[in-house]
Amino acid sequence: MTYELVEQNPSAVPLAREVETHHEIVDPDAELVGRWQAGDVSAFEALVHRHERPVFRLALRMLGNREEAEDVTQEALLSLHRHGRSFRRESRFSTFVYRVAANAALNRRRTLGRSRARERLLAQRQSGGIDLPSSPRDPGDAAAGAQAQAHVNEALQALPSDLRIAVVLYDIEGMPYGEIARVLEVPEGTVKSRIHRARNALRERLRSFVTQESEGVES
Amino acid sequence: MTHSEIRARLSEYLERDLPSEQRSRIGAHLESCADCDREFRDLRATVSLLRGLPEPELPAGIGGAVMARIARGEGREARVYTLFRRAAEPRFAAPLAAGLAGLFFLFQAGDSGFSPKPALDSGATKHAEALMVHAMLALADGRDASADAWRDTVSAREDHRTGLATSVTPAAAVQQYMSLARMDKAMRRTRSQEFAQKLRGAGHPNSASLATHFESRSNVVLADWRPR
Repeated sequence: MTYELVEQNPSAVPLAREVETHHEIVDPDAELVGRWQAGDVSAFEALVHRHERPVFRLALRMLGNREEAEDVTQEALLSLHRHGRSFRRESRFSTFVYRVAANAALNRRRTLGRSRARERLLAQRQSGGIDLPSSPRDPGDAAAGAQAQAHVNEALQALPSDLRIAVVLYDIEGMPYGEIARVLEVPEGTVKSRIHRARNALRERLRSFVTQESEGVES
Repeated sequence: MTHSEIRARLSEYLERDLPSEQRSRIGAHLESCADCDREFRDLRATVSLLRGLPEPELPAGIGGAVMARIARGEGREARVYTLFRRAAEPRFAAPLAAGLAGLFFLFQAGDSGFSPKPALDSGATKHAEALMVHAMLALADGRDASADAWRDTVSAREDHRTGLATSVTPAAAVQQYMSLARMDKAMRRTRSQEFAQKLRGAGHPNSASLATHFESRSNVVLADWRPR
């Protein structure tokens, strides 16, 4: 079998992701997982510290406020401890962590959806902007940056959950299609379709904002 | 391709998810159509905004709080869940499935006139029952019900070596067991009572509580089973 190196013009589509390549799973968590499954609690603690950040980030993007996201992060990590012994190493441990976190966030979202009072509280918090992530690095752009984040967060929260989780995992977490398919346990084609539908919906919702932005850049 | 078809595919175009022929057609269209090109640039700006969201600050102490909750016993697997997960392990699944198959054949051999399939002889039925009793008690105890262990125990208790466990695959046995749902309820109750009696007779510390469970059911549904 021969392989041909095809050079692509990187500036043609600057946001396009590298084509996924398939190679043997090398799991950086394998040793810790092995120790934990053999009963070493400190190994689980190390896994928690390694994965708490992505779990919190996913929960925050899914739920839109820090308090709920922190709560769901704890629940997801407890759930990981509860069910992690059944992890069979057929995928990376991080994929398993994302699956547990995604389920926890989606379950919480459903619970929130059923509770009108909490939903109102969530809306108030979001409109008050108190749940925005940390400030942009350049203080001069702080106001514009915060405004952009508020718009994006609001638009994300308006998406149906199945579209939101797909686009969050792809565009924010930077996960390839195949891994998202494993996390969400849906076919890869479904993942792609959800991402594209989510982006189109976000573009519609952010239209006036992004048009101003791109015109501002051009002028 | 129409303008709306082009616009529906812009996200895929951005990700190079399209065949090269479609890509070139869309690329050529974008060069000649200002409106679609505007849509494309809006989409690209949207994706840039998403990817440009800053890393949120992690609340302090999440890991510590989780470890403290685990130390208080919150992160433990529920006992029922553990039992059912263990029931799926090959060493437990084989005797359980064989036992289920035995129950199925036992019911099939009943005297209600419902006998669409040939039943095994009484020796095979007893053997299967014994396997199931042993497997369930082993599960309740957390003991190893591996092949050697149950074969030794069963052969000591029952002198019927029929080879049932190898002649019926676990999947087929479970499938057959599921068809019990079609059977007469009264007959199922009778057979459950009989099975409960056998459990009581096993002389194990857990056998009485298991028997109580079966006595209170009109049929033996494993998913209903809970340790007392």
